[in-house]
Amino acid sequence: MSEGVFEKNLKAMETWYPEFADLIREKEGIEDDTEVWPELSWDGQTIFRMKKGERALYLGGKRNAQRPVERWQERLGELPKYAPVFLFGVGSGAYLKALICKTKKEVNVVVYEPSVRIFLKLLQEIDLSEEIKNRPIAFIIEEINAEEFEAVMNKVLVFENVGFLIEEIHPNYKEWYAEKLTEKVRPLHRKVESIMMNKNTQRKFSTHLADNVLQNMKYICDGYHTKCLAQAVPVDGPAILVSAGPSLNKNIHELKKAKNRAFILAVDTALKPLIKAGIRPDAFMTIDAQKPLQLVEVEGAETIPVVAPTCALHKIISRQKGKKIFYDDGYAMPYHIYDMNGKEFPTVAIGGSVACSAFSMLYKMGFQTIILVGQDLAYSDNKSHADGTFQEKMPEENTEHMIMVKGNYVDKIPTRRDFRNFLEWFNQYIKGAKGHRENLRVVNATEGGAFIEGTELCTLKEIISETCHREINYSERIEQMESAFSEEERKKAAEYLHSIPNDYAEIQKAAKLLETSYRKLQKISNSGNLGQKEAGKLLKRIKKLTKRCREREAFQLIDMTMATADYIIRSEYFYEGESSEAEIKEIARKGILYNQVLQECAELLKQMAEEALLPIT
Amino acid sequence: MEMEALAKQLNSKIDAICEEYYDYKEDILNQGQGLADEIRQYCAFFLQGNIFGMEEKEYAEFGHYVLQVLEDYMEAVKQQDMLYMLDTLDNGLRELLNIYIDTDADAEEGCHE
Repeated sequence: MSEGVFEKNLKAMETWYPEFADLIREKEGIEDDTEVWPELSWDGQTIFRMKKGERALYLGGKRNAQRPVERWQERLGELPKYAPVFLFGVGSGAYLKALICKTKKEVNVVVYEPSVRIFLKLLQEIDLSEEIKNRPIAFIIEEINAEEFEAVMNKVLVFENVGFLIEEIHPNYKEWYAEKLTEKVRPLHRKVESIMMNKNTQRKFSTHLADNVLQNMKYICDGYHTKCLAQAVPVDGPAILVSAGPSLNKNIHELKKAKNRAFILAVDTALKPLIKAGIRPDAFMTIDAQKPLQLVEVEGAETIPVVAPTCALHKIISRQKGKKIFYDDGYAMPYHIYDMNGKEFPTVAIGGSVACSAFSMLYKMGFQTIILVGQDLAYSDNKSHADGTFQEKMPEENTEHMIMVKGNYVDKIPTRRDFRNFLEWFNQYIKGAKGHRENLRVVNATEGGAFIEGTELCTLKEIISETCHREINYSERIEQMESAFSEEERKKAAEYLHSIPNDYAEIQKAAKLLETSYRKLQKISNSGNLGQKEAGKLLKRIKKLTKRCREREAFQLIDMTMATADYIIRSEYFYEGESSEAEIKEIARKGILYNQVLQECAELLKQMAEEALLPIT
Repeated sequence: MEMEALAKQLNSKIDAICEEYYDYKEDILNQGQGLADEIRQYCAFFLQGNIFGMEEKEYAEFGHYVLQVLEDYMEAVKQQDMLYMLDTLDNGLRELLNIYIDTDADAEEGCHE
């Protein structure tokens, strides 16, 4: 072992992560069950061999250690700037060295090492100081900082670079570290899936989102949000979250006993079966920008208070005669009317399904006991939803090739990918929630379905008899809920909203000027006489005009509406042209196209805003 | 089977193993183990005597190389070490196969360069 190499490596690491370097110094003597020692390969490379018990495995080729690394590099080809590379297992550092040496500094490298002993041996034996100094490599090491993996992953992996993701598991690591590797690879795949799913959802709903936000503004001005709700209803009793999983049909009748003894919140899809069973929930939640209206079209449902994000389908919101309670879902315009009045607009977490957001809301409201019903997250009895939701009798599906997860009352139960993502969300959210609130009790009274970590299983009948004692008229409390806005604050909000159509007119003008600037840029780049000064001047003007468009709150809805145009531009963001001249040509071409669409979009939203916002008084 | 034919057969099997490993990241240990009889047959040929009429020292070194390949192969099987197996086949045994293979002509086809 060479102390010199170890210190040299740590000194290099201090350039980026001084605290991490100190942590390694502290852990230098730490051991795990892997024995590791260096050997010299026949082609002169230092390779590692590791041993557990009687079995020893090489981490590099005994005869030729270099060639496999070269082949890997050839296969990777040239990586674009900002490409995220995840190396699972570092071995003797050969792959890492090659990666740093052959890629641009902007390529983001994350190294996860499941054996602290291998990592320490690497720092002791291999001089990586140049590579470490070269760029900030994110080292995630078991026993040192493994818990940081997801935070680092979330920072490194974004929509723009997800298409360039490289993940490489070091040869032979699967033999001994399969479980630990899976723990890290799985969230990485989920993250990729979620990025793509969000983007696709945004693209799918893009045309509806802006319409919904604008149309809902008149209700948002009424000033009812989820914190008002939390203040209106007592939260020391239990809350029941009714979802629309297939098991709901098994115990829906029990809910009658909980009426006015627990706060009953339903997801929108569960409304129909509930009303038909004679149960009126105290509120229901809807989150989708586009949802079949028929799901809530049942007599009696229109008087139930609705909880929603500001982009929820406005046709459902406007149909409801009861209170309309909103939460902040990241839209600038509704946020601004609270902010300008010095008021808070609360958020709830997003997990992908209505039930995820509803659960988060109940937790944030402060309920100590949350009871889940119909929260199957799986195909109980081979059905996706409860009878009486999408169809009177939901069809049984072929679940043979579905993913299997742990069941509440069976070993394994089939589920599909989106349900599994929601399940994963519940597992994580409940874990976090219990970390913050020790006495939180989550009872899963779903009589079937997938097992949610952190929940206790109990029948609905039993848990109602155990916890639902005090009588409270929740509907009455909600009806008496106070608005967050005074009359004056509401007027101020309306005045602001009346200025929005003019904002779209200004954006339209700026987009026209931007198009002209891009045309000039295209002209000079086509002339083959691209003067740096002239191009620089134009790009500066473009930047200024772009800022003028983007700094307006109204621009956000344009951004959403133009999701497809934005998708094309952003997904090609890190592709590089052959030369700077070719790049400028491409920038100009895309700039012209984008700003033409922008002008059309601004005009469209101006009309929509006039129609939706000007009548607000 | 003639040595040249056996060498070519082994060579193409190792090419397939390399392709599986490098291009598809497959576990190639079982495929490597499946070559045991052919490898034994091929190596035994060189160990039966100085058939190429080499000088004594040269033959001793050659014999040592052949034994080393066999030893590494057996150790890779014993340890169930995929990387060790791949290295032994692609970089150890391959050298012995090249005795009967015109490497210039086959360079394009194989994965070993």
